[in-house]
Amino acid sequence: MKAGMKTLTYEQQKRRLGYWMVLPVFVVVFGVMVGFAAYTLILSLQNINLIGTQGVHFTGFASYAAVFHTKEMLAAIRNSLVWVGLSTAAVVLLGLAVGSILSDAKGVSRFARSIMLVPWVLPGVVVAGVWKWMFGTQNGVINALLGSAGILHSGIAWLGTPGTVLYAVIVVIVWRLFPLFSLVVASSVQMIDVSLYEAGKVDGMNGWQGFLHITLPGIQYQLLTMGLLNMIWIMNNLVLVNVMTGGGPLYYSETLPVYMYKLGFQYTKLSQAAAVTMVNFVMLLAISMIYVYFFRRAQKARESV
Amino acid sequence: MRASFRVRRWLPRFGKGILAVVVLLIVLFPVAWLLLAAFKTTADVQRIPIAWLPPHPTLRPIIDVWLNPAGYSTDWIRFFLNTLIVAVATTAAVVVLGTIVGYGLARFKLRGSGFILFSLLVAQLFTGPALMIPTYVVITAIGLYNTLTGLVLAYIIFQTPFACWLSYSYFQNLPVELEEAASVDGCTPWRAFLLVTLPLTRIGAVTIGLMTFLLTWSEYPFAVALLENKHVLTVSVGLAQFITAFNIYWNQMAAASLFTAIPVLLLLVFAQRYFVKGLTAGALK
Repeated sequence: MKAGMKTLTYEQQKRRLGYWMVLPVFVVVFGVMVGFAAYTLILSLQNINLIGTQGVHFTGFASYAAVFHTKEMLAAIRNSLVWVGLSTAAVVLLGLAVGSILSDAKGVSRFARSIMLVPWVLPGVVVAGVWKWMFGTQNGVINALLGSAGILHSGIAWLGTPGTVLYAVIVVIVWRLFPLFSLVVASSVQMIDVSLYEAGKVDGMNGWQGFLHITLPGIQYQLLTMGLLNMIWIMNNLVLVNVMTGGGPLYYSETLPVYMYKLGFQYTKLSQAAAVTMVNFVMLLAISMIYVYFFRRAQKARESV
Repeated sequence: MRASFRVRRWLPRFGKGILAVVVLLIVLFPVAWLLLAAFKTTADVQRIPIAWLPPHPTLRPIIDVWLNPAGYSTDWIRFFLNTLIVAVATTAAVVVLGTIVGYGLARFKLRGSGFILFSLLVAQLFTGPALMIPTYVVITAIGLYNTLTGLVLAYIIFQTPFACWLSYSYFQNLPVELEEAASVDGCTPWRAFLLVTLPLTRIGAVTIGLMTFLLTWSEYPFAVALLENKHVLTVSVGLAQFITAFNIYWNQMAAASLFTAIPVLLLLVFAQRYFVKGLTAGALK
């Protein structure tokens, strides 16, 4: 009886301690983030578009109208869609292929694993710097390699040509993200029960069917979360484009975050920059929801088969 | 067994080996190219056709970056120290906050903890450019623009959610028995946390610390938004300015890049298992 009462108070003590541990930090950190997000919205509805703007007031959607009337904004939206769509698809497909093929390799040592982490771990600015040099027209190593392989006769200005610049930067972000993705795929595949494959073999499944019906369903949760995470990283990436091309030539490689950066920090049009941020955020949210919707539908279709 | 069955008809064993080698070459080539460039003379990095291995190996670029006052060095040493200060301060704060919050969430059945955990994940959406503009406006308004303090404050706010999530998943896997034994011995919950649990959190805290250090060391968007003055730049912003300016000194760029990368590469070599845990925790949980 006495012991029971004591544990009760102990439980209460514990709960109170738990709230003290979690709530203050959570409230401050989250309060700031929510506050900042709300402030972005407010800013985008105001008229702070020059240094020291006098008479700040609400102007409704004027900042949105202003940015949407520029060719640059439409180009940025188009570039962002190409950028996030192609890069995410390439990272997922390449990561899936490399990860599932090499998942069992006994020779894949800790050394090889460390190497696969290198692109992700390297500072973004370093990655941007070395690839900018590699894509150079005159003394870029990519033109030199293609030249000595007989594919190219004269150098291409990869980062200076409207038709190639965005794709060149996409190559870089895929290089940065697919190794980590394939590591996650490999370690997820290793968690699948081996007996499933043996049963499949008895049923006469070939390798490709085994991949479709055992491997893919077995790692679908990891695929979804890792794919979504990569998409967010890609959509929000600023450093690669900013350092490699600055959005140029003209605005042919300008994604929404880069345009936002330009407006906010080079032209100090804060309200317009906030408007672009809101557009970027809504697009990110919409694409995430579409992505999750299709993934769930595919999942259900597979379960009902 | 399972594997040979899965791919037998698709890729013979040697094909797999070739694929592995090709992938590793693609992954490593830019790093090797950078390493080589740091030992080339300025004439050799500009040479056409390209010089693959350094024709005249030299330590000049590294010396210019670190020692030569007429070169890049007066700034570079400061960038490096600034980054170290910012990364260490942020990491210390985030490890303490993340450990406490993660423990609270994992151990006590709190009302609303589901909501809190979900919010911590959603917070990932807001990292990077999404909050650059308001952060810039607010940090400027409280007089911390162009200060390392302002940058550290911003980093603490934006890195803590991920750290809480990591430490939550760590404590979930840590057996609760020891703490229960402590409660039987008459410890208060707080004393049980301090005396029994905290010593056990080393691995979790190291993982959080490494991840935070890594992300802070290389961070670019907030640093470029909040710093402008040469005296307070971090390596990311300093190096970015060097690269974006009309640049022919690729060897100095390479040397500076290597020094920017070395701290995180060292972490990768010596703490690989923590990294794999930290990087995959979010996806595999």
